[in-house]
Amino acid sequence: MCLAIPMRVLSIDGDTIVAEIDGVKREASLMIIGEEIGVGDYVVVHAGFVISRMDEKEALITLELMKEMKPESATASA
Amino acid sequence: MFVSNGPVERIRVEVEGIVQGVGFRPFIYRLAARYGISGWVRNTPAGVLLEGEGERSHLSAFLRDISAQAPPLAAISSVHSETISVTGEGGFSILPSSGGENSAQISPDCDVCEDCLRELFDPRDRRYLYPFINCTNCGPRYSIITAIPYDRRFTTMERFAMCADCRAEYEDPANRRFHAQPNACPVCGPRIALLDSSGREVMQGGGGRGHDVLLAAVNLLQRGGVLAVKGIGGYHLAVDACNEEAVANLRRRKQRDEKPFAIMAPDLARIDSFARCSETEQRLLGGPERPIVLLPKREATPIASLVAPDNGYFGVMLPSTPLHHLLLRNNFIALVMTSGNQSDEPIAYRDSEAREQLAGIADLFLAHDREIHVRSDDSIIRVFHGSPLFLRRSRGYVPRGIRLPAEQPSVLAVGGELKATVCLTRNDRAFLSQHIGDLKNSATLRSLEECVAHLEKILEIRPALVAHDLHPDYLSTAYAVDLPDLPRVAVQHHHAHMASCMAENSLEGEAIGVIFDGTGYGLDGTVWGGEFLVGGYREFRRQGHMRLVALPGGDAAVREPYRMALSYLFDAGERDFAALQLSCLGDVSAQERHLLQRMLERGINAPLTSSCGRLFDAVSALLDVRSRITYEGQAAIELEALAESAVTDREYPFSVEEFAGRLILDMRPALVELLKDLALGVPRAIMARCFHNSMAAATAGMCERIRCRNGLNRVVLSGGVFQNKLLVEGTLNRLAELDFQVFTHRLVPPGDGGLALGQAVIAGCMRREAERSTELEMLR
Ligand SMILES: [Zn+2]
Ligand SMILES: [Zn+2]
Ligand SMILES: [Zn+2]
Repeated sequence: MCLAIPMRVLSIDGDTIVAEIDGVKREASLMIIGEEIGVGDYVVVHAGFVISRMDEKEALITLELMKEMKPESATASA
Repeated sequence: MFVSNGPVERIRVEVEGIVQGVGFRPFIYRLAARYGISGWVRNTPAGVLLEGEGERSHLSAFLRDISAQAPPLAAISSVHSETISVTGEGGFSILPSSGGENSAQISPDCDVCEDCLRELFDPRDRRYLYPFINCTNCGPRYSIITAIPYDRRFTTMERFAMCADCRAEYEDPANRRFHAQPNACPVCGPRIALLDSSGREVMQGGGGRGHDVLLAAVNLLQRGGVLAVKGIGGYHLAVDACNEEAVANLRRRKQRDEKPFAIMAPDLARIDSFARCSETEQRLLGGPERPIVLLPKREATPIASLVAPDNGYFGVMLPSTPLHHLLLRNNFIALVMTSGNQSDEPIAYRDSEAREQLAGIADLFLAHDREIHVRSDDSIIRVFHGSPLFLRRSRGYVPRGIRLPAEQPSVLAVGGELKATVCLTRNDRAFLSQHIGDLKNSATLRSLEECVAHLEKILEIRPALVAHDLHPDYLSTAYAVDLPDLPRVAVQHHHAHMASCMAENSLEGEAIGVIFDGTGYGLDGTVWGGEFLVGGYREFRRQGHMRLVALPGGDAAVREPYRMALSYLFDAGERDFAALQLSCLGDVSAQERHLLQRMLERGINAPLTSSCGRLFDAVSALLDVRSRITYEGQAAIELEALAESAVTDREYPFSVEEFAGRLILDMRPALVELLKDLALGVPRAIMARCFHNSMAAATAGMCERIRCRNGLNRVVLSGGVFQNKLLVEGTLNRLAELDFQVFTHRLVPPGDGGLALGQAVIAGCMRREAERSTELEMLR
C-alpha cells in the first residue's frame, strides 16, 4: 500500500481543502471521496486527493507511530 | 443415453464464418451429446471442421441445429457437409487446432453477455463486481489479439496466469468459459486503478475487484470532475452528462466548441427519459456491438444543453464493458463518453500515451493493466427507413467481412483523407478496418500504418496490389506510392463511393450513381462533389453534375460557409457585395467583402467545384444557420435539424441544361426563390425544408433524364451528403414514384469511411480484367 499521511483540515473552498501536518500546509481535492468533510477533520491525503477520513484518535496514533519510525518524515519539507 | 436403432452414417462438416473464439467447439460438443453423436471437432485455418457419426435422423437434426442454434457471437457464412465412411469411433472429442494458412475470421469485440452480467451483480458469485468478467460468448477480441491463431498466448491476456479455478473452467468443455481466451477473475486477472497524469496510483484496487477505486471514480464524476476511462478500444473522457458546468468544463479543456459529445446511459429506460427510441434503434443499442446510435432528443431532458448544441439528436450508447456497467448502474442518468484524444489526434489507447495526451483534460484516469493492442473508436449509426446507416463503422463490427459480388485478387485499399479507413480483400471477402480518423498529421498516418500491418497479420493477407485516391496530396496516396514493389491503381473519389455502394449491395453490371459529397479530386483537375455517374466497377462515365461554382479561398470556403453563399449569389448575378443585407454577413467587414468580390470577378484563388456539400453550406449560411463551422459537415447537419422541425411539400424550382454531352443541374432558380422567401420573412425552417425537397426532386429529375439516355433503372446513392436522413428519404420516395430501383448503404458509411471498400473492388476488378486480357493475348 502506498504511503498516505493523515492531515488536519484547515479550510474548505468548494472541492478544494487546505490541510496541515506539523506546520506544513497542502492543498488537496475532495473530488473522489464520498463522505462530507468538515474543518478540523483528519483526512488521508494521497497524490493531491483526499482518499479517506480518519477518526481523530486513530490519526493521532498513526502520527505518533510515524514519528517513531521515521523521524525525518514528520518534518517533511514539501 | 441415446439408443440408436436406425442405420448409422458418418458426415464431415466444414463450417466457415466467425466461428472461432465464440464458443463454437463446446457448442458442437454439447449438440453432439444431445443427439448421441460420436466424432470430433477442431478449429482449422478456414473455420471449424468436424466429423459426426450416428443415426441418420439424428445427424440431420444435428446439422440443422448447427446453423439454427449457433452461439450468439458466431456468424456462419457457410456449412458444407458430405457423407464419409463409418469408423465405429466412440465418444466425442475436441481436438487441438490444426496449423496452416489461417483464413478463419477473428471475432469483433463484444459487450458483456446476459449470463456474465447476472454473475457480475450476484454477491454470491466469485466474479461479483469484477470489471473483467467475460466468457466465450462475450468480451474483448479484436482489440486484444496480437497474432494468430486466436489463443491466450497471442492476446494481451498472456501475462496473467490463470488461477486453478479459472484454469478448470477453461479446460472443461461443458463450461461457458471453455477456451474463453480472456478468462479471468479477481484472484488472477487484470485490476483497475485510479491514476493521476504522472501515473501515480491515487487509489489501489484492494482485493482484485477494486470496488473502492470504482466508488472514488463515481465520486469524482458526481462532483463534476473529468475522468479518463479505459474502454475496449481506447480511452474515453467522461463527465456527468446532466451537469452543465462539468460539460462546459470538458469542452473548454478539450477545446471543442460545438461538436456533439456522445453519451452513455446505463439502460434503455434511462435513454427513454431524454431521447425517443424505435424498436430497431433499441435492438442496435442493445446488440453486442454496442454502437453509438443517433436518437431524436425529447423536448425537455435532464441532459446538459452543451452536450449536443444546435442538433436535434443525441449520440447515445449503452455500456460496452463490465467496467462501464459498474460505473453507470444506479449512479448516473448518463455520462458524456467522448473519444479520449486531443482534436485531430487518434484516440489514445496506450496507458502512458493516454496520460500524456489527456493530462490537461482529465482530472484522473480509471485505468487497468490489460493492454489494448489495437485501438478502435466507437461505431456511429443512424436509423432511417427502419434500417441502420453507418456514419462510422468501427468497434464491434471490425474485422467482420463483407461479401463481394465476385472473387478477386487480394487488394489493399488505403481510402481517402477524412474519416479514413483501409480495406483488405481475400477471395470474395472485404475487410474494412476500424475508423482511423482524419489523415492530416503524422500521428493519424502512423495509426493507418499500424492498422494495415495488424490486419494483414491477423487475416493473413498479402495484397497483390494497392488502391488509392486520385488526389496526389492525400497522405494516404503518398503512403500507397511509397509501398515498395506493389503495383498501384489510382481510383477516382466518386467512382469509389459508387462502387462501395454497389459492392455491398452485390450489384453487378451497370447502374446510375448519384454521389453527393463534399470534395473529391476530379478527372479534369476540378473539385467534384455533386455527381451523376453511370457505370460499374471497371469504368464510369460522368453523365451529369451540379453546375460549377467558385470556391473563394479554397479550403477557407469549406470552413466559412458564408463564402459559399456569396459565391452562389455571384453566380446568380449579384455583383454588389457591399450593399448586401444578409444576417450571415453581419460580421464580414467591407474590406473582406471587397476582397471576395474581386476573387470571384477575376477567378483568382477560386477553384471551380460541383460540390453538393458546398451548396448545403451556402443555404445554411443564407438562412443564418451557420456561417462558420468548427467541425466537418456542421452547416449541413444544423440545416437538416432546422428542416426537420417544419413540414411542407413545397419545392423550389431548378433547371437542367445540356453542355458538352453532360447534364448540368442548375440550382440557381431555387436560390432566387429562397431569397424572395427570405425577403418575405418566411420561417427559416420552412425554407430549409423546401430546399431539401427541391434537392430530392432535382435528383429524381436528373435520374429520369439519364434513364432516358441509357435505359438503366438502378440507382445507387452514396457520398457524405447522404448521411442526411431527410434528403435520403425524400430522394428515395421520388425515385420510387418513378419506378427506379434504389440502393443505399447498409454495411459501410456513405461518407469517406466507406471509400476504401469501393477502391478495393474497382482495383480488384481491373486486375481481373487485365489478367483475362493477357490470357487472351497468350492464346492468340
Ligand atoms: Zn459472457
Ligand atoms: Zn482466476
Ligand atoms: Zn467523399
